[in-house]
Amino acid sequence: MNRLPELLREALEQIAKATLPELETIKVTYLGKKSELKELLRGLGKLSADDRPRFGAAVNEAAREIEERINARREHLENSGPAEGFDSTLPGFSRRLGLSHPIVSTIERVCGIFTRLGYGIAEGPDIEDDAHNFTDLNFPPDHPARDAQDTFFLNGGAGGSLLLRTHTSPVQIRIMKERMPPLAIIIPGRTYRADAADATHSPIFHQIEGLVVGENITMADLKGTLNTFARELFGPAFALRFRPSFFPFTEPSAEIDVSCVNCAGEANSGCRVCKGTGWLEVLGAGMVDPDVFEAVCRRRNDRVYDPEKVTGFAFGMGVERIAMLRHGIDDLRLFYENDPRFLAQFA
Amino acid sequence: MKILRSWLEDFIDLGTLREIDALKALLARGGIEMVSWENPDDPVFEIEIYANRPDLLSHYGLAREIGVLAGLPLKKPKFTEGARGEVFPISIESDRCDRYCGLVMRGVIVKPSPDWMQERLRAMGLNPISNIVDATNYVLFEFNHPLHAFDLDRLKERVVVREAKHGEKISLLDGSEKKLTPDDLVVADASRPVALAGVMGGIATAVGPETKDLLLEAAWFLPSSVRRSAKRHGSPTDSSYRFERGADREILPLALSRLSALILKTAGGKIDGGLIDVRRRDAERKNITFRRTSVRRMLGHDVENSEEILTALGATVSGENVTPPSWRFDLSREIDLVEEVARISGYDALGSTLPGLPSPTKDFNWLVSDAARFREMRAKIAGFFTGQGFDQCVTFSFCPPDQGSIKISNPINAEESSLRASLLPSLLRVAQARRDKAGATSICIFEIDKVFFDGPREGYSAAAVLMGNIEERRYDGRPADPASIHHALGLLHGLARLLRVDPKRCGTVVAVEGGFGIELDLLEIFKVWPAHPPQYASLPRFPASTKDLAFWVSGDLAVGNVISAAKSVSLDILEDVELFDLFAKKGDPRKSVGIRIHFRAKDRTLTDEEITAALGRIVDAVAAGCGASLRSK
Repeated sequence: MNRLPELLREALEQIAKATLPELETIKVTYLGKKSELKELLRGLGKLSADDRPRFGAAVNEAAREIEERINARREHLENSGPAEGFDSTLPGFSRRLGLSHPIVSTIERVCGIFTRLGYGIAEGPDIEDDAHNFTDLNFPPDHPARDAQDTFFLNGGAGGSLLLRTHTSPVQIRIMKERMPPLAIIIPGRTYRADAADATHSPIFHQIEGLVVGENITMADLKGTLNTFARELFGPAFALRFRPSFFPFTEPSAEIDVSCVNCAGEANSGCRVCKGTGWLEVLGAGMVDPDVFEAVCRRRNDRVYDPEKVTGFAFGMGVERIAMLRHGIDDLRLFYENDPRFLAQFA
Repeated sequence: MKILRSWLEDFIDLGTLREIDALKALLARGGIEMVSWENPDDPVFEIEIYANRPDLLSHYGLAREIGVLAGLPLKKPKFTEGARGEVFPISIESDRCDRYCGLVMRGVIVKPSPDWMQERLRAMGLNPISNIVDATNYVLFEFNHPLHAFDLDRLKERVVVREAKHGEKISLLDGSEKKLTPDDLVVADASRPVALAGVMGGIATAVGPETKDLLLEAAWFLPSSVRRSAKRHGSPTDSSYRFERGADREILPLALSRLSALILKTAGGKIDGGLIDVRRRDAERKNITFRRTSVRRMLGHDVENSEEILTALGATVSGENVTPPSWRFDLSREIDLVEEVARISGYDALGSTLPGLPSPTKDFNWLVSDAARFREMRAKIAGFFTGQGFDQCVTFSFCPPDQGSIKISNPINAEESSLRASLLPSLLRVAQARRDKAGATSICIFEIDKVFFDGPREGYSAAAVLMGNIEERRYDGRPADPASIHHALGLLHGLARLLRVDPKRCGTVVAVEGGFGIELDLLEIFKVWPAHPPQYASLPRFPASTKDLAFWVSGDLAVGNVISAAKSVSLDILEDVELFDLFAKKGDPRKSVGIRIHFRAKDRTLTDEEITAALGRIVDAVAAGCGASLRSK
């Protein structure tokens, strides 16, 4: 009987430093049929009637404590860290990861830059008519400038003039018809050109356009806005270059290049990305042509957008192109194949 | 457009701009792109010009532009125009020709051009033909005006510019025969058309080795007429290309003067009589009012030397009146002059400011009035799918003709000739490609995009495809979870919960080849998506009591009947009933349906008696309504 306290202490010491497999052995040793405790219980018969209940209770108490400690120790080990019986080289159980698409995330990123500047997001139809897509944007009928945009035409529509929009610019007309100046909007959308698909062309692609109209909007505001945008999207290390250009719906017009993402603008470095020029074209832009404002006035039947009262600038970029430049993707078709090995690189 | 540097230097001293990189940078500053160059000894470079600057399509034109951009003087050509005459009858009988100049030369000898002329023409990508023809092409690339030479002896009596008559034909220089209509403008002699005006000359009156006498032509034809004829009868020519974009009416005498001088030099002969100049109509020389303040208004800063810039470009400036030069068809409004000032003074001079916008602009969507909320809903749905582990896809809007009612009249191919009314077919193709080409065993993909219906009407759809295993077998033995219709339904129900809409109004589930798909009509859901912010309902203060009941029911009984039977008992303490167990043993016509019932009262803790009584009523209702028997409690 005097052995009991010592036995208990021994057991508890063992338990305290046991590993999971060892716990099983300890259980058998101290609580099993052949254990000392069981021996002690069998020996109770030799005791006096007075002592029997007291010692019996003590032995049972000890057994209970040992069992509790074993359970506690087991639970501790099962829930605790590496040093105590856990294999950290096993892969964790994780759920499948849903991948986002670089076209969607590029649009979100660009729109986010502009909504922070107070721009609203505007969306318009993919199916447009000739007036919204060309005429109101100052493409006169029969003019060579229309050839540059190979258009998908649709059967039907009033006078058969329905088409798939070749750019997101028609939304400029739509929003100016509905809203008063001043306004600043960013227009993401799907666009269509009758080009066969190859590494740099696709019949379906996406553009993001911007439009700001107000009483004192100048070309300096256009330059500043695009500089801000480029800094946010590409980073402060990148420079922008503005060159004169021509679009029917802007005057003056500009094309904007960013310093090459690959060779950092070291001209003639033989860089494949910028063909050694050091610059990559990323945006078209300009001041809204007064004829476009006049077309809006005709639609609205008022002079709210009189070009003598308001000025504005517009800019546009290709989403796939921006994504290809940012991430060094070399084939436009990859965006539409949706291969998870592609998506996973940019998600 | 190819440019030979040495030819350019006939008209301007390039100085430091002889260096290709310097010239390239200068041209870029002016909006002209030098795309490529070759042959470092006498460089030929390719420039790209925008459609509104046809005046740059020649060496003289480009030299003139470089002169303005770099502030260099031009070596103006020294030819004089010569006297006027009437030696051959020429008339204009159409309002599509404003001016026709002719010059007669006699006694020329047709033979190959001298080497220097051949070299220059080859540099332009042309094959030399004969001294006469080559001279007309030479002047084209030099002064940008298309000229033509007729064999005078083959012209009957006179030359008239008129619309073709129905049924008239012409055999052109390229060997083709064209049937003409009154929409075509022709140069004709007394009996038949001899040239398709502005496009190409006829073979019958072409200059050949036996030709002795010539009629040289320099004319101005209406751009849209030339464009249409060129398009109708084949492809554009160097001539039609320039007429389409606008040719300089005032340069005709000079061009003929240059042409005749070249011919005299290379073919001999003499000029007979003076220049025949038939003018039907003079160009309207627009007077543009140019306010200095406009420059500051558009650009944000003043340009002090605006007047000098415009004068250097060839305009006449008198106070606020500016008359643009005859070779600039793109300058007709004040804004066009502002652009020239900006371009020549350099875009580098522009400031860099941000517009002061008084308040943020609201979102806009042409289909729904609360555009911002519609965007928010789409973003929520996209987030739901990616959170569920679905990959976002972007696919083409085209579909085969039987899958969409909006038809494209000039599609890329027959399989992509309509606009899709559902996102599922293209998603399915992506899924199949992942499974068949890449061997994927777990495919969960979605797309949110527009769809198109008769009208035409546009809508928005969200669709997903599940194929293979939703979860693969785990290494610890947990088995794979193959995609089933229940997963598809689960997605719909999850979305319905997320958006707080009725699942029945959410969308449809379909079986697809190898898996399942769901599709939602986003405009329909947007109509029922709660617009008001959710209102707080206070949390229950008293505990719930949960009891499980299991029933044997007939194997073909719809399980929903058990739930609705249980819920049909009118009990205000019944909070919810859900399915927690479904079990069918092989060979047993019955199945076991276990339901978990949640009881709660708002104002008290429930007693055992109340719960027991409630359970009893539920058991009765389920037994009666479903022919069920209780298994155990």
